Amino acid sequence: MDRGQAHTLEAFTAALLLVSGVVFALQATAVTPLSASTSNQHIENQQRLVANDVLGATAENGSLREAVLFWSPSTNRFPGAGERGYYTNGGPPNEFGETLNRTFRERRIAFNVHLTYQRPGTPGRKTMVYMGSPTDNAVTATRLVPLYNDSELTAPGATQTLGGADANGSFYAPDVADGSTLFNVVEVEIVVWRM
Amino acid sequence: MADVRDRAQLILITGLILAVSFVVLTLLLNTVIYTENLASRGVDTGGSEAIEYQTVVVHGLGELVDGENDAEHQSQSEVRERVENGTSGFNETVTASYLERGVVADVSNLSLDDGRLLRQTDPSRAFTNRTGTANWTLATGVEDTRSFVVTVSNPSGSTPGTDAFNVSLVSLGGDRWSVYVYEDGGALELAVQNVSDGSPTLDVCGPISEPARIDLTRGTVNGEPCGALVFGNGISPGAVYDIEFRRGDHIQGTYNLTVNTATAGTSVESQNFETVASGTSPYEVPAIYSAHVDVHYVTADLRYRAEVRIARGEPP
Repeated sequence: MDRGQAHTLEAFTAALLLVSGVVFALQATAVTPLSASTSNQHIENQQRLVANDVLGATAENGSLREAVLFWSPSTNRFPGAGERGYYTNGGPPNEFGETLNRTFRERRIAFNVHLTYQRPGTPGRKTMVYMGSPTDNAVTATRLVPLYNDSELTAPGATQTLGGADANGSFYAPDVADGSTLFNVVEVEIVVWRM
Repeated sequence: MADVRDRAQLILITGLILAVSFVVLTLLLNTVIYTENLASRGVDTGGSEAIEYQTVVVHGLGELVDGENDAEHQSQSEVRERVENGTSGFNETVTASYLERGVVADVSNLSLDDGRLLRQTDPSRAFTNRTGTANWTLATGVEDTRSFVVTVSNPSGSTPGTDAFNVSLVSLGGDRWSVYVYEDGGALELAVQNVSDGSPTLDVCGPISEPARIDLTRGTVNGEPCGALVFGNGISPGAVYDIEFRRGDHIQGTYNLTVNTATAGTSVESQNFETVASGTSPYEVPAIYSAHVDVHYVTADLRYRAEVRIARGEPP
């Protein structure tokens, strides 16, 4: 009688062991790089690709250059960017901004956009979009956009070319190549992370 | 009863073995997935960045060359000088921004091929020459043409081949490739006659809205790819050709084309054009046809070098 109980108990213990083995095994899979988490390498890869492709596509259809030239010489800042001089709610109100919003903001992915331009001495930096401090899992993508003297500012109401705007100092970047139509080369950097 | 006790132990041991093997399997699977993930990421020494840099150079300098050509400088030496200035300015700025990332990216050994930009900028002028002749030749012995774009409206004549405007390339051997712009029921239409064709293929790539921007070298109509429009289709590669306008008085609009005059034997029929300074159409402008540069891209892991030729809007 006692032995029967002991056997039953042993069986239970064995079953418990089995089940806890299975549970442990299932728990262990949580550390694979395929499981969903914000620190997931695949998500980073994916976001880096998407960011690069956004820059590539907008560079190809010209909207990236339009965004770089989206500058209001009268207020000396990006149009509608407010006191701080950069957009905080999403992309700028142009095609590039809409592309950013469609690609990232609607999927709850935050982004910053920085412009780096050359000037005598140290390079200058301008922030176009700042949605906050990026997390450790942020990724970046960059693209160079050459500007020419005859490129026109694209802000509403602005009719000046870069050459004209530079003559009265109303564009953020200076003309670095005198004696040619080249004006400056601006590097657009977007930083992307999951909120 | 010894066998009964043995069985319980057996169950216990089996449970243990199963548990252990599950754990081992899981760890193994995890390692496999992780390794695969690492392996499929590719050996990234920055090859794609080097290609991207090359693309930036080709696009940037291509735009620079076209910008200087469009600026209509008076002399060949002036265009050359400005393109050289622009290239060194471009190189300095781009090099500086790559240096920040620890990359030496550099453009060197710039060499330029001279060309002539032939253009008409008055949209209401007919496609006649300087003196008003309707059938005329723009350039002879041409080997390379790029960015040949005509923007046309108000065609007259509805029968290609007999009474409609056409652009023709005629090789030394007499092979002829023609694009006709004609009018059909009030609409502008396009016809293409390749060298091997007996008669023009009518109404290709329609409907076309006016003014029609026909990019002959890239093969697009109003920005849309046009499969039937293949520049010089049938003229053997490397053969030189003349560029002609026929019945230029049957159409009006603007055109731009750049021909390579660095190749021996190519000459623009200057008597048909005004000079730059006159400001009246049609006129010819000193230009750069193409640029050659060496591209270098050096990182700690990668050394990339390529010779690139830059001539935007060449036929594919």
